[in-house]
Amino acid sequence: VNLRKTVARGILAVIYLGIGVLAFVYGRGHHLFIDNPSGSGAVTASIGSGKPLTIKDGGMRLIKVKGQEETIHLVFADGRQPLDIRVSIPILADTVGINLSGLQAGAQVEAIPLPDSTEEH
Amino acid sequence: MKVKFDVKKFLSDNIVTIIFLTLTIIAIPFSKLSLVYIASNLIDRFARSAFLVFALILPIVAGMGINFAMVLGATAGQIGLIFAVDWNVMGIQGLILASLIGLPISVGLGWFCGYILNKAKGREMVTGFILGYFMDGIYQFFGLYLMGWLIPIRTAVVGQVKGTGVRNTLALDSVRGALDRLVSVPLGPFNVPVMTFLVIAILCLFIVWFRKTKLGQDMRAVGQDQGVAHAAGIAVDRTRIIAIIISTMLACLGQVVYLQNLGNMFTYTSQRQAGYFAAAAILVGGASVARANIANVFIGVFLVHALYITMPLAGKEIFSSAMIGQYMSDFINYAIISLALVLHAWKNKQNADRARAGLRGGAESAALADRNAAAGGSK
Repeated sequence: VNLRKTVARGILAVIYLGIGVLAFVYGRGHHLFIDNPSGSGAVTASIGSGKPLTIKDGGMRLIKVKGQEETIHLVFADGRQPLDIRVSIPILADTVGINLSGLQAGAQVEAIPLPDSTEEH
Repeated sequence: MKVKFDVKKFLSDNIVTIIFLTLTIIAIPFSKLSLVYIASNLIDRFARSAFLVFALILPIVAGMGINFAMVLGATAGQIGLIFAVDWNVMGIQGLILASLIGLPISVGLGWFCGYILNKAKGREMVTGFILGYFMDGIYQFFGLYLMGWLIPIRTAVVGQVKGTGVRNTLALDSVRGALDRLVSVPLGPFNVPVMTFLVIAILCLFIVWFRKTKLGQDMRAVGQDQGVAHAAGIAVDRTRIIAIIISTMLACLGQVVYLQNLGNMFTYTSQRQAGYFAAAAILVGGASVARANIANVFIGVFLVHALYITMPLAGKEIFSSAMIGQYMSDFINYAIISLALVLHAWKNKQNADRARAGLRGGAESAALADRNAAAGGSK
């Protein structure tokens, strides 16, 4: 009986930790720098159901994203075809960056971890 | 047989609620607030605080009075939130993580608290009150010295500029409204946080179910008479510890729900406010230190918040200062706690006199003691 109780408690502990890990992985937030280099024109970026952000030519925007992967819908002011890109973000990076130049539709972009001078000690 | 309605008994049993209701009714017209505004605020505030107040029911059922040591559970919830914010876990996942971190801490603290309260039988409330202050000291040591020194702080949002210690005020932007906005339905002029209400409803069902279980019945038996419960084979001390552990766990979850609604946290004082508020609310709702139910929580939360909403503006109209109104609502809250405790002591004395007189000379002496007590009470 004791063994059964111990096993049951062990399973519950594993489930408890598992829920914690899942909450951490799916809820981990990141600051995402979107860099729109000069010469590529203004671009409007929409992430999930959030409201669209306009990034001027040569500008940058900092947004908060949740989870390790995010799809960004880009609409270019110069009339180019809109793009949907998938950005994968390293779980432990607080601040990451992507560069919008040279992206193609459906591209999988690896966000680059950046030093966070505003938030880290 | 027809039961006669006893006005005197009704007034005596509900005096605290009646005083509060009267004050609120007087304050509403003076505040000049529309009923829609008051109702909208009440919905928001009810979602914020109801969970926290439920934490007090089980210790009352188990005869331990108002669990002022629920502050320990609230502290555990805050520790969970500090880590969730520091690790930047956002939304509902952040709340889940905060709860998962806080719950084991609250179980440990609840056991510790229950153990101490068993050593101080008959003086549980004052012991719980002092335990709250004791925990405040430990928490400040943890928050101001261990965090950032022994336990790393990752972000400047949480850490103080000097490097060690958690900030006095934390912005909970990453989890603000995460539960309230998960499912929120606009209903006319109101915005109803359906998910929060669902969680509160589940908690109500849990309490109704729990009171019917063997453990729930044991708690009630222990609350009514510990000697009889012990003679009946109930493990009195263990049952009391479980009541406090459940209360502390609910306080932990309640504080997480409370703070996600507020959106910011006074790191070193929020937990204390939660304890005072919950005690005032359940007493205003008609509970006593020996009797409480779900309806007391609902009535209490609505009445206390109705006064909080209307009193500052009523104070501004009556005394030409909103601050006086704010002070008055705080003063009334504390006065209510005192009044409820005094009434409880007075009723206990009355019952003891009656029992003593009954032992001395039967029914006639008991009736005489009743008359004397009534005369003493009316002086």
